[in-house]
Amino acid sequence: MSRGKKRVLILLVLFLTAFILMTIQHSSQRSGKIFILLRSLSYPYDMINSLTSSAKNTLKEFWSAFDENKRLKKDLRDALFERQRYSEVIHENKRLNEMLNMKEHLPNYVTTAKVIARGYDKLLNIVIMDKGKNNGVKKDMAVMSPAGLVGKVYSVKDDFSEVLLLKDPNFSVAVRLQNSRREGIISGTGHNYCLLKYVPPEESVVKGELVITSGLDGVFPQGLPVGVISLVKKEGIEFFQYIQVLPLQSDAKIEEVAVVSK
Amino acid sequence: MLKWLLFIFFAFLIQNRLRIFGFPLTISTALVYYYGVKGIHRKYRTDGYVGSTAELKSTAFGAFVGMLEDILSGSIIGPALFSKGLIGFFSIITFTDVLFKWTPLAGGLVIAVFTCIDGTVFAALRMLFSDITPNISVIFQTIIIQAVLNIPFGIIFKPADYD
Repeated sequence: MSRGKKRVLILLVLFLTAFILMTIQHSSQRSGKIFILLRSLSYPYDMINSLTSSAKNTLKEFWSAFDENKRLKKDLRDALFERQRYSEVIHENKRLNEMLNMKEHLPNYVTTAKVIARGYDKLLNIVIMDKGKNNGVKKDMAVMSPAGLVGKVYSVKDDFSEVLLLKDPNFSVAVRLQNSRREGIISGTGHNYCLLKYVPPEESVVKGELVITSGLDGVFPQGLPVGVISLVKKEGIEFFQYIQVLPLQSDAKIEEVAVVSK
Repeated sequence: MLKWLLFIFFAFLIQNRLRIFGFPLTISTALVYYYGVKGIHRKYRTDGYVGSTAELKSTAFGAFVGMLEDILSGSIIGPALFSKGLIGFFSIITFTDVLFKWTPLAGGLVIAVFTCIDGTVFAALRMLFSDITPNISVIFQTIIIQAVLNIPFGIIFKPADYD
């Protein structure tokens, strides 16, 4: 058989095979046995194809989850930071509201200041506030917080002032017990409590009683809350009772203060 | 034979998964072409003719790949069987009887033409025997892109006796 005839034969076989197959399938139903058989032939390939597809999708999901995790962590950090900031703003708002409320009730109000630092003098219990001469602050003015007396202005500069705290041993203020109306003088001790001096033993002093300024020292206005009686001792004393007073305003929590003149 | 079966498997896997510029590849056509040109070997040649066995093998290989493609497509068996069989047949006689000598440029052009023939024959037969009415312009656009994408294969795949 010649080369040409062989080639024609090859093409003819190919043509006939394809066209007979297509004609049979075209005339038969797609749900016929031949289709079911042919579909079953492709099952292994379909399975591997689906396997690779699912592996690809799993990898894709893994990377997407990894990225999402990174993003969410960052979002969480930002949200926590933001929440912290809002919480701080809320607290500040609350404190400033109290200050505003206090300002309305204090007749001798001078100014409101922010405590910006602790004093550098190791021998004195001092805080520094951000208002000074330029804001009308003068030496010996009373410094208050919404809780109670903080101390007095110790030194004044143009734009800031030093405040001597209630607990400092150099600090004294004339006070009165709110209920018994008994007068005395409170002095700092250097500890977290103060001592109420010059109360004779016959006076009845009750633990928990509020101590307020009497105004008799000519420095502090009358009626500012100072602290509460925390300990009363009548035994083993000489002329006066030993009375400890716990300041209403802890020196570790002072942030905003009001300056009050006499 | 196992080597070629693996080639076929990976060719289907890749062309099923990979798309370039949104167009599916026809690596199976390149594979049939490769089988054909690999069959052109000096030791089989007699006056440029490699023998009817090589031509028959190449045609049968093309028809087999086409049949698998038809089976996997879930449609009727025949269109790809015929088109790929033709490619198998022509890929071996092109460089023995038509162009006589393989060059990278000729290889690139021939595979592009074969891809067009394969795509056109396949589409025509599918339309004829499956009663489908696809968008002709989209089909031709796809065929052209596939032909262009197959050119590198034509440049790489050379006959076994190419020096």
